[in-house]
Amino acid sequence: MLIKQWILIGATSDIAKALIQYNEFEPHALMLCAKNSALLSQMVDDLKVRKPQVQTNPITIDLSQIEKVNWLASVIQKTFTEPYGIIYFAGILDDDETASKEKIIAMNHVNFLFPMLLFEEIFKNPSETKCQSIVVVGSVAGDRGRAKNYRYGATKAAIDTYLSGLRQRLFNFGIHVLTVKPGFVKTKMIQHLTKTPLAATPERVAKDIWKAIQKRKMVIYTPWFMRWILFILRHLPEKWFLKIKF
Amino acid sequence: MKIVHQLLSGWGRVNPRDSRVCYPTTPFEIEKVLGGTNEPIIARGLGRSYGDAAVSDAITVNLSTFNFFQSWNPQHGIIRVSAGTSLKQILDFVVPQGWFLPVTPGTQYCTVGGCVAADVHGKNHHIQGSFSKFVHSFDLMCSGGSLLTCNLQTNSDLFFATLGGMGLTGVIVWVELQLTPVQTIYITERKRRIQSWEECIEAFQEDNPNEPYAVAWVDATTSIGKGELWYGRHTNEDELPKLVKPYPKKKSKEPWTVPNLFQNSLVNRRTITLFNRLKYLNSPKRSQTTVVPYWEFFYPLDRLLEWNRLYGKSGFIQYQYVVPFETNPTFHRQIVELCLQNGQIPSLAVFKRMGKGIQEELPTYDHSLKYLPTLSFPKQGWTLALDFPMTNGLLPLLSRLDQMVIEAGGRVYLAKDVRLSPETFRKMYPELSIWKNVCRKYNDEIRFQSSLSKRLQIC
Ligand SMILES: Cc1cc2nc3c(=O)[nH]c(=O)nc-3n(C[C@H](O)[C@H](O)[C@H](O)COP(=O)(O)OP(=O)(O)OC[C@H]3O[C@@H](n4cnc5c(N)ncnc54)[C@H](O)[C@@H]3O)c2cc1C
Ligand SMILES: NC(=O)c1ccc[n+]([C@@H]2O[C@H](COP(=O)([O-])OP(=O)(O)OC[C@H]3O[C@@H](n4cnc5c(N)ncnc54)[C@H](OP(=O)(O)O)[C@@H]3O)[C@@H](O)[C@H]2O)c1
Repeated sequence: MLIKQWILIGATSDIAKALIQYNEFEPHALMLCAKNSALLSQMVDDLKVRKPQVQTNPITIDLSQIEKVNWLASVIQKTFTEPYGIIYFAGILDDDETASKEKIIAMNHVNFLFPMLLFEEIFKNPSETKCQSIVVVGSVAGDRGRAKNYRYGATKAAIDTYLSGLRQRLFNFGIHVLTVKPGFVKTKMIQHLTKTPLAATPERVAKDIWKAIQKRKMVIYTPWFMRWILFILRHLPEKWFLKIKF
Repeated sequence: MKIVHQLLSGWGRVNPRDSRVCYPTTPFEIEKVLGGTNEPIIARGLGRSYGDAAVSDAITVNLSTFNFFQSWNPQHGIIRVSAGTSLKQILDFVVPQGWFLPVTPGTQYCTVGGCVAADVHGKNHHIQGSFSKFVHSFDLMCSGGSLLTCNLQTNSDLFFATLGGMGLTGVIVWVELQLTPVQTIYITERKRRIQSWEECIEAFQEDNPNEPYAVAWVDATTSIGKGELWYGRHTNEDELPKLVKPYPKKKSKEPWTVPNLFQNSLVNRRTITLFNRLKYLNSPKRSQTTVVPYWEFFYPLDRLLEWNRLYGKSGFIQYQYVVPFETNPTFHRQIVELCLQNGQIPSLAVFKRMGKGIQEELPTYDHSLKYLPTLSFPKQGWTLALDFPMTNGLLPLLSRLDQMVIEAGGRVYLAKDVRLSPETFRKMYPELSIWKNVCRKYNDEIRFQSSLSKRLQIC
């Protein structure tokens, strides 16, 4: 059965925006959670024009405040009485040597701790929850740490491992868990980078995510060829890996 | 608001500048950028203007991610969008509902803000006029940071100054557009071969309001004026074969992207000649009519993304002029001859007819004014756009063309320009001084500046 109610967390992310605009994504109801409330309300207006049939429910929340987890979980559980799914897009890439401790902590909260605590709350009792599908946008950066972005990569590796375990635990309950690992995507997150080889468009990534949800895939790389690039990278002996620069 | 360093240029990739760029996504963020610095600022859309109009060595406000629909009236075809919305996003949404853009340039990868700021024209300018004729109103953010609504009734002087104002009056934030109804996604296209400049001009003059779109490609590797003329009109539903749906789900093919690999231009004397010869050979000897989806008719160049990379690191220049109808038809031949004599072969030449510009329609707006305060390019006459790979000797040649264009009473399009001088610019745009008065009336300081405005000493 195709889920018709979705919660998008980090709904103002460019990839989320592309999914919302993708014409084959036709939910009945959407809960959009994001920090920037002005942008969120603009997106709600945009949705009213593009997809007037969708019921939208905007929620303003700062995901670095992990004490808000229980509140969000209870809002979600109260709002949805039909099967629903969660797609977690939010992420922070704050990865230069000068990043302050606060920033690194916020990055860990948004990329890893918040989604983990939220899912723990929602799946306390997997047989009772209406949540039937969860999707998290991780990153290929979590597959192997590189000098350029290992702090970020570590948060993505953590969520990857967490989801792998959660998937196994929820399997018998028929709950679908999808990990999405994009390569570079042309979004605001990487505007400051001068070299972004093989970067994909957010539209392409959004489409891949939606197709993977429909096919109930478990882990996808997007674009697809990233899987093979990462396969090679993961298997490079550490000695050789030390020497490559990118 | 995150500010990132980027090397920016126009579509022609000439003279890149180190710019500090930000990507606001709400009006509030645009205001914050304005309030957060005293440095000059210029708005940028999708960077499809060829020259340095959307480039600055100070701050560039890139609006391409400020793309949202605000309201839509499907009964009357009125849509209100944020300025960073691309024409493609609008078309993808409105065409299946039976609406189309009344005026469109040759690419759908440009923003509504960019189309207003350059007052772009389409293949139907001689019948429909320019983009601005279908702008009901827009909201503009001037140096003060507040939003001013501009239309024919409210702040009308600022309305006109912003049309063709190349971003120098402020940042366009929201735009309300009138669309035109269509019955299908198709265009009935008629092609014919032309053998000379005279024949081309004659063919354009056979006025046929049933075929509102007309454009000619000319082989400018010789000065004869051989080429091909395309006419087009929106196909009606009852003209389609039975099995063809008026709004099929089919989409244009995913475009290819040219990689950023080429140091040297792939576009050179040899390839240009080959391309133009083949194109001419491929044109039908007798007039030929076909039905094609709208993107094939309007946007053939969009099939290849980032095609400007084919010109290598040094880039290219497009020179587009308009001269009055009275100009001797041999004018265009002389222009091409002069280029060839100087060893500059145009890679692409596109010829169109233009109807009245907004300046010439002044009487319908206001009787009391001598000039409308606008820098909009289109005016009645013939317009020729020539693409040249950037090589030594090109700039002096173009300066000579400027003189010929001025003598003929014509002008050059700012959205394509990287090299006009302040003096020649003033001769081409006599409206400048009254335009400036309006610009100053609404901006207490000269906040909006681009590489173009500095080069032309506009502000
Ligand atoms: C293949 C191709 C075909 C073309 N065909 C045509 C054609 O047929 N007819 C035609 O007229 N033009 C044509 N053009 C030119 C193009 O349509 C214009 O240059 C248009 O302005 C590009 O829009 P943009 O969003 O890319 O703007 P940019 O190039 O980013 O900016 C253009 C100007 O608009 C200003 N601007 C952009 N956004 C705003 C805003 N929100 N507020 C204030 N100012 C703003 C900028 O400061 C700059 O001065 C063509 C270009 C290409 C590449
Ligand atoms: N772009 C890439 O190259 C790339 C590659 C691999 C993986 N990814 C992953 O893809 C996901 C989506 O990113 P994107 O590329 O679409 O970039 P994006 O547009 O920058 O999206 C990231 C989103 O996270 C939100 N966010 C950050 N901190 C938050 C907080 N404290 N509270 C609430 N929301 C917060 C941001 O909201 P604000 O805008 O309000 O800050 C933003 O909307 C991220 O998880 C990213 O790690 C991206």
